[in-house]
Amino acid sequence: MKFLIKLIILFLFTTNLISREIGETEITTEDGIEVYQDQKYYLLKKNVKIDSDNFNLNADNVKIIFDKNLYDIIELDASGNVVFDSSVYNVRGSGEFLNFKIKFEELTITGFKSELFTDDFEMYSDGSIKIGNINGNFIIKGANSSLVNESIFIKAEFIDGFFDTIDGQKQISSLIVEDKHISYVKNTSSEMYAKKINFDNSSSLIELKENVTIIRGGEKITGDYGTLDTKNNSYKIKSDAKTKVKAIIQNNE
Amino acid sequence: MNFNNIEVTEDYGKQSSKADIYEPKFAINNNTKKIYVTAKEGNFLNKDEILLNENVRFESNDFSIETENVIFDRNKQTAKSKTRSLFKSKNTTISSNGFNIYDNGNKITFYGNSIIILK
Repeated sequence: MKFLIKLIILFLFTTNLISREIGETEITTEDGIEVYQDQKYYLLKKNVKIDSDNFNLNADNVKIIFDKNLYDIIELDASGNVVFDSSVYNVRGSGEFLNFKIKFEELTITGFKSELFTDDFEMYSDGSIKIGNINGNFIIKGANSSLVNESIFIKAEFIDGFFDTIDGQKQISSLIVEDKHISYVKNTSSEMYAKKINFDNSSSLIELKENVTIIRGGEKITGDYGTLDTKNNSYKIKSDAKTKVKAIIQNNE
Repeated sequence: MNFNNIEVTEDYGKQSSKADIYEPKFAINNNTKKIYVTAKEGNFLNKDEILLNENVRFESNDFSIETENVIFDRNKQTAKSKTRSLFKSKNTTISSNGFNIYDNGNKITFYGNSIIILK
C-alpha cells in the first residue's frame, strides 16, 4: 500500500512538474532542445507540439527565432508533417514546411499537398501557399494550386490576390492568375480559361489574356482577349489578326 | 564558457564522505557574461573532469539551471548533465532530462523529453 501511494505521488510529481496555465504557451519535444543564445534561435527536435490559447502546432521539428529572450518569438519554422490551427487569425492548415513571421502575421506553407483554410476560403498547392493577415495578400504557386470558396473555383500554377474583410467575411478584392498552360476560373455564372486572368473588384472586371475561352449557359466563346463585367454580367472577346473569335451556341431544345 | 577563467573555491575535509570537495563555487566567464556554479559537493574524475553532486546550480544574469549531477570537462570546455534539469529565464521555464552547455556558454542542448513553458 505504501509503495502504491509513493508511486502515485511520484507520478503526480513528475507529470505536473511544469504545466501550462491560461495565457501561457507549452512546447513539448521528444528529443530535446538546442538553444543558440548568440544567434537568437532554438531548435525543437522530434514530435514537437506547441499548445497555447490561440495557436496549436504539431511538427517533426521546429526552429524558433527570438528577439531578446526565449519567449520573445519573432519567427517560427516548422518542418515535417506540419499541422497547425490559429484561432486568432482564423486560419488552419497543413504541409511539409511552415514559416510563420509573427510580427508581420505572415504564414507560408510549402511542399507537397499544402493546405490552408480560413473561415471563407480553401487553398491547396504542391508548391507554396502564403497569406498575410495584415496586408491581406495571398500567393498560391506551384503544381496543383487552387483557391476554392462557395462562389469561386480557381486553378492555376500562380494565384496572387488580396482579401478584404467586409462584415467579418473575407472577399477577394483583386486577383492575378497565371498558368503557362491554361488557368481556369469558375464563378457562379461562367467558366473561364486563359493563360492570364486578372480581376479587380473596384471595376467589377475580369480580364482574360491568351487562349481565352468563356463558357456560359449554352455559349462557348474563344478568342485572344476578353473581359467579363461581373456587375452587369456581360462579356466581350477579341482576337488578334491571326485568329478569329469563335462562338459555339448549343441548341438545348 | 572559458575554463581558463574558472575560479574555484573549495572547502576540503569539511565532512567525512567520499567527496573530494564540499560546497564548491565556480565562476565561469565568457566575453559577455559570468556564470556562477555551485553544488553541495564534487569529485575529481580525472585531470579534466569534475563531477558535481547535489543541488547543482548554474546562475547568470540571464538564466539559472538546477539539477543533481553535472560533469565539467576542462579540456572540452563543456558542462554536461544527464539528470532531470530545470532551466529558468525571464518568462521561460524548460524541463529536460539533462543538458550540455558548450561553445563558451553560447549553446545549451537540453536532452530527451523536454517541456518549455513560455509566459
